[in-house]
Amino acid sequence: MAKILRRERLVPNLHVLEVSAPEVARKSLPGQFVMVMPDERGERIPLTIADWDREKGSVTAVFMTVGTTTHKLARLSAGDEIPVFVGPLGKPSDIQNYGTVLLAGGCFGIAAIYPIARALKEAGNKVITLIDVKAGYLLYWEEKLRKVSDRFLVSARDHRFATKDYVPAKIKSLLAEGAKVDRAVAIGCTYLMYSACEATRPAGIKTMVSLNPIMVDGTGMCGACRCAVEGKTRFACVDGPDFDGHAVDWAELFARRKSYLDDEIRSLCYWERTQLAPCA
Amino acid sequence: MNITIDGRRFEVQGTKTVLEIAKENGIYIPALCSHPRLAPYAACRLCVVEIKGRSGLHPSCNTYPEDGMAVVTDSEPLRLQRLKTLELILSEHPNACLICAEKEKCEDHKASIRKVGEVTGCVFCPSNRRCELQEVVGKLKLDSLPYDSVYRGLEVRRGDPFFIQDYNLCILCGRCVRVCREVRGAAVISIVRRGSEAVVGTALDRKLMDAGCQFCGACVDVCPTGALAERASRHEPPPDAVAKTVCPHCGVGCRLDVETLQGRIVASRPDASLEAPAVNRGQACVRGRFTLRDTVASPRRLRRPMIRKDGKLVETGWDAALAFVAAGLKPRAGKAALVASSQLSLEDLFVLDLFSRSALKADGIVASLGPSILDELSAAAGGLKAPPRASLADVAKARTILVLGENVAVSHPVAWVEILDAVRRGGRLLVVGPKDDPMSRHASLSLKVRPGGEPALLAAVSKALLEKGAPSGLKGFDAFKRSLDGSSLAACCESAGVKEEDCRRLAGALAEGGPAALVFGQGLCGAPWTKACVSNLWNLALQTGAALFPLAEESDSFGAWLLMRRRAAGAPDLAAVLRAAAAGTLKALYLAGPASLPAKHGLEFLVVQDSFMNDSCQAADAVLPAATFAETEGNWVNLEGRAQKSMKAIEPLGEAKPDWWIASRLAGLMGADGCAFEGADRIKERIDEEGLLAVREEGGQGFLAACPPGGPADKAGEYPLVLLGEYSPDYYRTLALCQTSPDFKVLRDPGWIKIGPEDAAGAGLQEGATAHVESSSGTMEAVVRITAGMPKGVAAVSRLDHGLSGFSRLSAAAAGSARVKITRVN
Repeated sequence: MAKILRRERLVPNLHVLEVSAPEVARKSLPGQFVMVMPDERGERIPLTIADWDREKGSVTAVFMTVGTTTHKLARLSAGDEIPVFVGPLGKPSDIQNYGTVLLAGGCFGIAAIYPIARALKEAGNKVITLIDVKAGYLLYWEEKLRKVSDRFLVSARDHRFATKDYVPAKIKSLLAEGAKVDRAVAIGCTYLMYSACEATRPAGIKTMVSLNPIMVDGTGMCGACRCAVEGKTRFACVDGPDFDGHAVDWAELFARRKSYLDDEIRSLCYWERTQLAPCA
Repeated sequence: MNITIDGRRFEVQGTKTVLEIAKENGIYIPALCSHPRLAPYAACRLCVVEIKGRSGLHPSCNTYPEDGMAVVTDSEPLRLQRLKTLELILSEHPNACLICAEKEKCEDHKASIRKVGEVTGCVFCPSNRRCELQEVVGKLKLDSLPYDSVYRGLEVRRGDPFFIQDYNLCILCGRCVRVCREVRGAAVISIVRRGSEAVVGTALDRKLMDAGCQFCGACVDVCPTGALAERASRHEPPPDAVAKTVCPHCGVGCRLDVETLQGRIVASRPDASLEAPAVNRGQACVRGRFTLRDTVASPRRLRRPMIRKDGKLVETGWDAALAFVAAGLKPRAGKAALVASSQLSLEDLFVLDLFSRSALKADGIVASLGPSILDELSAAAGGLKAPPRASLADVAKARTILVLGENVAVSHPVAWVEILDAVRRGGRLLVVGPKDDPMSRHASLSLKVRPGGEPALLAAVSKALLEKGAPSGLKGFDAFKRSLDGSSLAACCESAGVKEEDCRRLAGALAEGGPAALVFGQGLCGAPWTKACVSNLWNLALQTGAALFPLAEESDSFGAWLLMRRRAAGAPDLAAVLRAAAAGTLKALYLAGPASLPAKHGLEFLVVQDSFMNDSCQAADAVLPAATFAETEGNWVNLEGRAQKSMKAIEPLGEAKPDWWIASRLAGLMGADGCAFEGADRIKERIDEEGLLAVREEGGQGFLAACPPGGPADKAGEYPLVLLGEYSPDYYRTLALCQTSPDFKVLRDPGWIKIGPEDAAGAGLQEGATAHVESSSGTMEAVVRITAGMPKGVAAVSRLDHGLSGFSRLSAAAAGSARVKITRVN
């Protein structure tokens, strides 16, 4: 059992989870993930590691409430214990001195790019961070990210940022203004990663994405997280999660992610009715 | 009068607003707070128009036409004004998706985010693609906002059954507040707090449940945004098909749109149409709005035919099951009976009736509800023609309405909406019953009688009216008058437990003239004094010229009544059938409806044809799975006698078949003629050929002998409390709604015993405690609900039994009233 040190709602639908897991913290590297189970009867889900504290022995992840398991997680609080918190899993992100790196993040990806930005900065890169939020009230970890970024940009559909652009428009205008970008990283929902890759493709900027297929065990056994990269089947859990976004078969990934949508909806409706309703 | 709108000339009456006239003629004016069922409110200010010769802009939703008025609905200043107004409305509503250029692609790819807990954009929202805000934004071509986005950060309210309230999406149009007060008469919610803090809420911030909400869902249906969303389908994508059906619950026969997705029901909503033939004018109740989805998909659904082999029920195919049943029934023809639920379609009942006559050699179907109020009325008639009946529209226009023996707000909530409409038009509502109920709040006179005191009160009112001298040339008047001579007005009132002056006030109100309706229902049935009550109501109707409005209880009670009228005089009723089954004189019983039949008694062959696994299946020789209302098409005859067609929404679950299909095939196997049908349409044609729906009542109008009160009320003795058995409408066929809907169980549970605070304190009973109830005929246990409206010395339990709730026989026995003792279970 792993003890929860902190579970807070950062902004609507996004929660930060800090768990006491010294062994995981000791080995965590940017780009890796953990497998989590909120209760003994629940399913296992992967969460990208957003930060760790080796001294304190804690690991932090940010997740979005987007299904039964994440809703269950969001109901836990400091002091509660979760039966499964396995990691770090997956290959760490490649960290080298590339020159200038553009990091695009949205949703839970805002937190997921943080350790990568920090490591890239430490490796001597110029870091441009591009955060996508629908509206200003959904922005979090701004200060944290500014500290590890040389430039901090926001794409939003909000008057506050005087913009109604999405990620690709920002990337295009960045490139149009002559910014030299040697490498890009995009983490967030599948659509954000796909859109970012489409925006960098014409300029031939290598763009790494952290793929998020449905995953069951996270250790290469089940094969649920298979995706096609360069025409070959790869497992996101052990061969990734980072892949070259320009080589990913996005149509397949979108389709596979919807495989159980109906069941997921029914499961969540059932859980809400039986666990959150007044009759629970 | 004539007006022009955008240069087009219209001849109008003056009863409709400029907005309504424009809409009817295809002229678009944006509007968010107006709703055709609600009085003008003019809150959103989007519907402003220019009127030539008048300064300023005018909301068209509360502007009525005047002769020669020239209206302009589209101009540059209007467009600007509306856009600015819309921007302000959206400034506190999650608006990113509304102005986002990526929206369509995003929706395709981000299907899974419909499952988030807090809505921060359209792609997350349960109302996506049916939201009125989205429509207005599209029409006004708004593509950016001059304000920073604000999320109010109000907690999403999940503490109530059936729906979730997320007031972060609310635009304060007030529709929910108004429909709750104006149409449903409940006034549970209101706009509370002021200025930027304003929000829809209840008094003292209680849960809706505690504030008296009956969860009719009217607020959910009028909400232009996703602020109110049904819990069970909140994360579902929009439906892929909608079927026009008729609600299978009460006799009103509400038209419902059943929404389906990939062949399963996701939701049911009232048909939005406000005109005939939609009897419900856009309204429904908790049963029609929130329970049908769970009912049809209940885990207790029977999916395959089963026959008993070596003492066990085993699944089999239709051919084998039908052959088995036919072989079991055929030798017992003539000593068989068929009990059917009057929640089945007219076509189902018609073929079951034919089947019972031709194959079982029985005398037609027997309704499982027992004598309905319509049967009681026929039984009282004695060859006379009943007083005229009111339609729902008549009730809405009545000047005086007397409601007796039924909490209409619960049993027939949409008929209650019509009664409230009459009250709003200045009509008087008179309520008579043994306890306070929510109806009393709207009544100009509410009389509490002692349990069973209704006939005595009606006799007293008749006497009081006779004193005023109401001569009548109708048949039987003198005999009626003489029958009341034996007891004085004072004695009648005392027997009823009502003050004489109150009785006179009631008589006075009924005598005042104008159209009047006497509304009564199943609550009066099954008691020792039922006939007395019905006879006295009959006479009262003739004395006052009021129309009768018997609330047919089940969705096809009227259809069942039409069929059962064709039975020979003295044909056995439900009680007689069950007695014969117990005594062994009946050899075979065919149950196509709920009946309290815990064991086989003397029966040799029992067939259960139902949609749900139920207690009777345990004793059955064969169990045949029947389709539900949503899986078959047919007509249901509502309480006005109107046959309404209901369409099939989904395919039957498993191998279930329509009830008529099963009976028709069985009749064929048993060699019976005239039951072969291939479709419901053909059955309806046959019904029409026979003229079944043309109700002809024989005989002339006339009075019945009045039934004055019997002796004084019985003594308390060992059993100090009177236990009322309240009719409960909360079931479909053999399924009690609380069994299948966890939310419904919170709202109403047949396992409750309602008791007043004083008696509860006397017996040391707390809310939610288990009580032991004992009468001279048996015992049972029930969960205590302390109910303010219960008078001292009276408790009430639900009569919903049907072997559904694990309730003891006592509740069924308590149909009228019984004396009981209640103690606490430790």
